[in-house]
Amino acid sequence: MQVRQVEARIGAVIISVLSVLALAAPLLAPHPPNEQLDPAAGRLRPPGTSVWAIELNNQWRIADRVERRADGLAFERLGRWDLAAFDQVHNLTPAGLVDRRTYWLGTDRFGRDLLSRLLYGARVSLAVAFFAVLLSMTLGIGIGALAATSPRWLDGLLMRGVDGLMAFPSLFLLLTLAVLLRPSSLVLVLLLGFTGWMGISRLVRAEILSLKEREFALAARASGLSPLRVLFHHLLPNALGPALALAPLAIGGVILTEAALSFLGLGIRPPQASWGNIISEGREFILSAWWISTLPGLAIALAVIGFNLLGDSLRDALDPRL
Amino acid sequence: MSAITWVHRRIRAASDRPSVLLAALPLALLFALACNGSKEVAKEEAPPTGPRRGGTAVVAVISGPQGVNEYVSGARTNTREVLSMLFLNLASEQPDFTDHPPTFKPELAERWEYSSDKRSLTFFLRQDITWSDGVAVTADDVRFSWQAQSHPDIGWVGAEYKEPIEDVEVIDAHTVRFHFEYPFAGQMLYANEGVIIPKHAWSALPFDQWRANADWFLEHLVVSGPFTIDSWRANDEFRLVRNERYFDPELPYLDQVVLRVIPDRASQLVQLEAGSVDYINAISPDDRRRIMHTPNLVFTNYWGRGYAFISWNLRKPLFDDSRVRRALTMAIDRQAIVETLWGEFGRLAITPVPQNIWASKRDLPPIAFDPKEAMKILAEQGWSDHDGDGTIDRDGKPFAFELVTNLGNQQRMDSIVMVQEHLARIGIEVTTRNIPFNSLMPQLNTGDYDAVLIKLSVATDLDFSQYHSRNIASGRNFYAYSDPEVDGWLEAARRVEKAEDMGPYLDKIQGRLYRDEVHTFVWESQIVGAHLARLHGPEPNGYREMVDGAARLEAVHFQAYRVLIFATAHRGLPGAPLRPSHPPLLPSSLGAG
Repeated sequence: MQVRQVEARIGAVIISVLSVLALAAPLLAPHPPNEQLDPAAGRLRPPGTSVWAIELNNQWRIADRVERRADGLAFERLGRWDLAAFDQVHNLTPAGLVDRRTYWLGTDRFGRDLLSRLLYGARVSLAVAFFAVLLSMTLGIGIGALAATSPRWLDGLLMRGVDGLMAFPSLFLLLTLAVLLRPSSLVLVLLLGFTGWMGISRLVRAEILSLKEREFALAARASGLSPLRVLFHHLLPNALGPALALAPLAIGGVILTEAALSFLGLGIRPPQASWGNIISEGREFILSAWWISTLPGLAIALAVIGFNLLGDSLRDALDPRL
Repeated sequence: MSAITWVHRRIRAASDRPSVLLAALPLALLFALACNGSKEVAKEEAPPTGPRRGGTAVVAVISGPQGVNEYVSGARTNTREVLSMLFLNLASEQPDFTDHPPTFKPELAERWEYSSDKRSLTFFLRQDITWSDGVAVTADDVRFSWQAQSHPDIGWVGAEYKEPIEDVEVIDAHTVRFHFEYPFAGQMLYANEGVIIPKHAWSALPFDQWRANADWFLEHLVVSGPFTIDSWRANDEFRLVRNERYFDPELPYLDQVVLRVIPDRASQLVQLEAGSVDYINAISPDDRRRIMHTPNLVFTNYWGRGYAFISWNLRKPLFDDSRVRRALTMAIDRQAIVETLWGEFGRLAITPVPQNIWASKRDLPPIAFDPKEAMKILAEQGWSDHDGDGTIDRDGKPFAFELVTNLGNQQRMDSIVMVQEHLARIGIEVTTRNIPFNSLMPQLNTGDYDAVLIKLSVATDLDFSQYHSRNIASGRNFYAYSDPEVDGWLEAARRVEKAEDMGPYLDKIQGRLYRDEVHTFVWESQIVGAHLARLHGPEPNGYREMVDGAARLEAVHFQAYRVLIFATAHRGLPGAPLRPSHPPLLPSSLGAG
């Protein structure tokens, strides 16, 4: 098996696993991603911590240890022992407390379960990246094809527009727009999609211009087919390969951009989790609670590696020049 | 095999090889020298014997001062901190406002007296105080300062303190009289507000050119305070050196104070732990917990005079009913917010007068966290989840609003996320947004917001005119609270002649605000600073004087023997007990930090 095939399989496995985890987040997440039971006692717990969750009248208490005593349930919270009468504890059964929680990946600054947030964050980060790239592919392919088959003046106009947009620092443009618009998942998809199509359009235009002079295209035209039919039946299908091979690579890039925007507070707004804003929320605790920023960072790295491996392999397979 | 045995064997094995021995020789020599050096240093570890002068203290600041003229350089805390080291006030406000209105100690003025009708206040200046160029500080400087403070072209941020002052009359070179429109409790505070600036040096520039020439004052700087400026590198480092003409020959102890601009709090902390910074004046409770056992660090903490609160925009129909506002307060677990974000460094705020101020109405009980009761109250007002979408609604409109705070303050940004979650539990949909402070303020002033979590610092004059209905249009009363009775009490409090007599009015105002639930008060917090143990003096009530912002450092000093061991750059010596400093007072103000 060739190296490229191995890479493609590894990439596909990584992406598949992440996608399945993201899609199944409601089933897999041990706790609601935004749940703050008892932030003072539950925050910044390291991975693997197990605690007791005690439901009192109006609030929950996170305890490290509990003891059933004659006069009630004693629990150790924040290093201090408190006592709650039995009738105040709503999740106490004759067998004991029913709520024993394990935070497999630790908790964040509000005592929220990091594993649950990472799973739900994957949904947001991957979905935003997927749909943003879908949008930019659609725009890029459409505009590239239009430019390649248009009269010279329109082609020139479109390409100078593309040049102008490409010359503009895209991160600056994104930051400006993100400040002006109130970010949400949809806004992010639109922002990232509308700022990411230019390279694809150039590629598609170049491909079609090249294909237009090939024998099969000349033959199609000579047989009397309309220009649109030639475009959609003969040119575009052949030009799509290299463009589609770019998609996974673009997804990796968009994941990083979304993470950067969310990290800067201009992306997904809290309490909704995305990998980027989880990193941002943990940066203050990078020395004392490393897991908050490190684990989503690893998830981003893994996703980007997966998409890049797949993208490289796809490009090799679909681009006849390589 | 024990570790010692293993090391022993390795040494014996190495000693069989001459090359290893040769290589080890210089290392052994270095080690021996180092040991010898340690012994010498140990001899220096004698207990301090008394106050001595010297040393350079490095203080980390978030940003540098904006200029040396308070009246054109804004009211930013870091600017005021520097200016309090350069210039003196007439008197020094004491941090004794916990039990009674603040008292004053002489500074430029050695004494003062009121006229029989209390409409004028005469200050008698010390005759031994000079500017750093040797010119005497006189009554002309005091009048000149007042003219600058109240001049419309200058537009000083504290100018409203000078509004009741009709004139400042120079009686003789060292006697100056303030004439007031009417007698009131805050006359001394109002007269004393703002530092005294040098007329002979700064009057050459007309007032109408001050704003455009803020740098001119640095070029023509003469000071009366304990330090003067040696070097000024904007956004980098500011070096202050002892003013050799400072009136107290004993002070300051330090030769130099270096204000190093380190915009990032985490970097400040790293530098403090590394010993390259001696003092940082604000660290977060989380950082405090993390480094609390770090050797050679001393922590200072004291209750600030501010309170954080959620202001509901009363212009919005959603918040125009006090019962709804009370339900919102009951649904927010404020104790959890305080406990999570501040731990032992915070407590629940109950009224706009913080509990460490004498006029605080401390008998008001905090509103209990009771989400069930909150839901009941809201249901009585028609707010229920009629359409089953998880959000309560009335007349088809969901209970949804935006809660904003200023970007950059982690506690506030965290707290709105917690509030969002608490209110979501009773079916209220809150979106949150963090807005840069400079953008947030215009939004508040124009009433363009739903709810905001912000902090207000309270000045010791206890002027709560932000609740006066006449200030709605100006944006100062950005909550749009209006109650004719409160207006009347505010005006009456302003006119009493003794500060103690403000108490009953302030009680009524606090009671009414509590009843009307104008805000949801969230926390009062301590200000926590940290300094290296070798630095002495930055103590609570001394360094920043329980007044957010000012530090004179005149009595800060090093302990000699430790300095010799740890830092050749810091040649400090033991000193005397701390003298209180006297920061400028500014109107109750919203703060970004």
